[in-house]
Amino acid sequence: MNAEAKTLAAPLVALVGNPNCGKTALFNALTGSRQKVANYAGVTVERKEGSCYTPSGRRVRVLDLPGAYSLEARTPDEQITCDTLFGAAHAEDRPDFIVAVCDANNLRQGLRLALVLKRLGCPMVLALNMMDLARKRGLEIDVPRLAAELGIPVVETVATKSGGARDLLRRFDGVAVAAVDGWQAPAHAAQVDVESDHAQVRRILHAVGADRVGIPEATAKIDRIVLHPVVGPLLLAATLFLMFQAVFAWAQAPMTLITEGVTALGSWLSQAMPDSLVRSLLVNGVLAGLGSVIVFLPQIVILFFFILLLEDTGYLPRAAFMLDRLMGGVGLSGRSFIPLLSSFACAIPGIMATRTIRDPRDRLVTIMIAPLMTCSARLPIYALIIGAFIPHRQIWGGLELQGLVLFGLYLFGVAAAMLVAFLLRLPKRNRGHALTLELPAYHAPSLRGLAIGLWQRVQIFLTRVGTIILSLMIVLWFLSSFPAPPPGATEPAITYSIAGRIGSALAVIFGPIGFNWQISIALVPGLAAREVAIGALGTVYALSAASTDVGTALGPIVAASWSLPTALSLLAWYVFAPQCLSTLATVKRETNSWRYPVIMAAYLFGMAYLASFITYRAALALGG
Amino acid sequence: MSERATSLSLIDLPVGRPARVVGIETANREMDAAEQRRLAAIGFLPGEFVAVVAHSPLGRNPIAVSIGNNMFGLRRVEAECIRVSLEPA
Repeated sequence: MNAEAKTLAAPLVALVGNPNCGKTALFNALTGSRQKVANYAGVTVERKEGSCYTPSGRRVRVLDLPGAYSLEARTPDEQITCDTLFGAAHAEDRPDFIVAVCDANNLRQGLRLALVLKRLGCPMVLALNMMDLARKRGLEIDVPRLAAELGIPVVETVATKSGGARDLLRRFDGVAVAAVDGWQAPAHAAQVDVESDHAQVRRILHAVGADRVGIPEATAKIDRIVLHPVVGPLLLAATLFLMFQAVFAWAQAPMTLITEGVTALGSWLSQAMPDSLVRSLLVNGVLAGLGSVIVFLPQIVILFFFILLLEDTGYLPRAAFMLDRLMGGVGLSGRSFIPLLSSFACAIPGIMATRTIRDPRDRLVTIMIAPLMTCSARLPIYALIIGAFIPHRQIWGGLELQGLVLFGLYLFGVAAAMLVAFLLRLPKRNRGHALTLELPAYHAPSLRGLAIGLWQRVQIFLTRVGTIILSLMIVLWFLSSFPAPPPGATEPAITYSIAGRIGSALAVIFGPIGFNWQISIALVPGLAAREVAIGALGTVYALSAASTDVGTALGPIVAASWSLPTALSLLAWYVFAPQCLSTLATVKRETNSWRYPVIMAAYLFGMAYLASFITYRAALALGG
Repeated sequence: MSERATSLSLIDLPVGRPARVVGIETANREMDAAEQRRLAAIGFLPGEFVAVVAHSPLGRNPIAVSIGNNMFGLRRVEAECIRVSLEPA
């Protein structure tokens, strides 16, 4: 880029700081974005750009970068930060201004990085973030003194309060776009004498009155219970239990409401419209398909309510800590835990989060097992089958059997993942591995953040329903309706359609594991997204139904037409099957090769078929 | 008495006992120089206050350690590299 063009461009401001110091919250406050924030290290693993306007109306580009403890990159996500700062990335990406973000409650660590950043020679400001929390904890930082000691301006920020970044924004007015090669990061900047920096940090901390040591009292108190060797694991088990119980128990009422609403809409449409292809498309294609997926929205919201709560409070890394021994047992580093945990929401961010894993082999193993973590798209399928086949009753004094089975399926996925990791790790075992897992101070969850997070999940789900699922439902309706049955046909019309024929052909492959042609056909569009299989079943069964009654309540239909071994076999299939093309595409992008997505698809399909076969045959043999 | 004699490895520090970091030393082959610099980067620097907050449910691997104003989970291989000296309780 030439000098002129660069001057015309808006200046680029980079947010740099330790992991979990609130860079992304600050980025969101500055740019009005809604990037994911949570209370653990390593939420942000890629660079995100946004823009904002200074009080004088100037546009500034803002860059959010993964957190780092030093500028000696040890993991792929830290490498992104270092490459940007050292200008190894594209020249136009080199920041014109650095905001060194520090958690005011942890200046000790923040200042060490700030000193390193200062040596880069780029104009910068220090943002003392989470100042509200620091004040609440009785920390009085002499801010003017801090600025004087560091020789750079210092502003206070509270990223989570509206207007909390105003002072910082004002600083951007003075930011100049650097001339062509602006500042050049000195090659030696990363080679720091950490001990002399350390001595300086200690002197500054003492001077500004921030030399308190130890962790916040409340956190220490909570951890005496949460990290207790006996109570801790029990608490973790109870939490997970409650989560899966709640997914079924709390969702009943809203699910009934949605089902009734969709059914009512269907019967209204059936009466209001003349019997035509359009009516069939609307009622059997769109409504039956979408209705059977949308009904699971309450369960997804409940699941994410718990996940977001765990992420926000700081409990998540504690869970990782307690389960680290298990990870180590199968040869994985503890750093694999959070990517795997993210995969419970969706494997895609989970696979991206493996950028925080240093060892390339470890990272690859983690990527390979991430799809075995039960993602939220599998929830509708599990919930449908469990709802239809597992009796709604309580055992062992109050435990909901359906929730228990769901919990079991999640555990089954985890156990399978551990087994695969163990096998992949066999050829080259490594005994020890670094963990260095930050256990952050607890925060009370922010209700606003929780609401935004849940709303985002609702939007994602409804967008999927409205776009990919809707279009696939329409395609499936056409394939299931044409060609029309020959005159004098005795079977339901769908049997003679293209979809019916494909389903019958596929049933040859899936017959041995107990899938009928309706399931077989639903698996195909289900490759695009797992929930689509549910919608597809809705459409296929609606079209197979003899009566004109709308089959929006899919549960009773499958309960009547599948045997228990078939249902169990389908559950086993979905624990393993890589029924998600976006995941495979992400693996291709993150590993930069076709090799691993192909291996992944092959091994997961293989395991799915095997697991379903064993489940089906065993269930048949037991007379199920 | 030499410093070595009064210091102990972080892995042997009892839970709740305050101590200070003496330094980082090579204790095993899994922890190379870069890995040791990493420990320094997260705050295990001479003179810093350190305490073991908790052991994991299955013993001393990993352990939760407070250092400065932070807390980290460290595996045995990491904790073994860190030498600490006891503070008068």
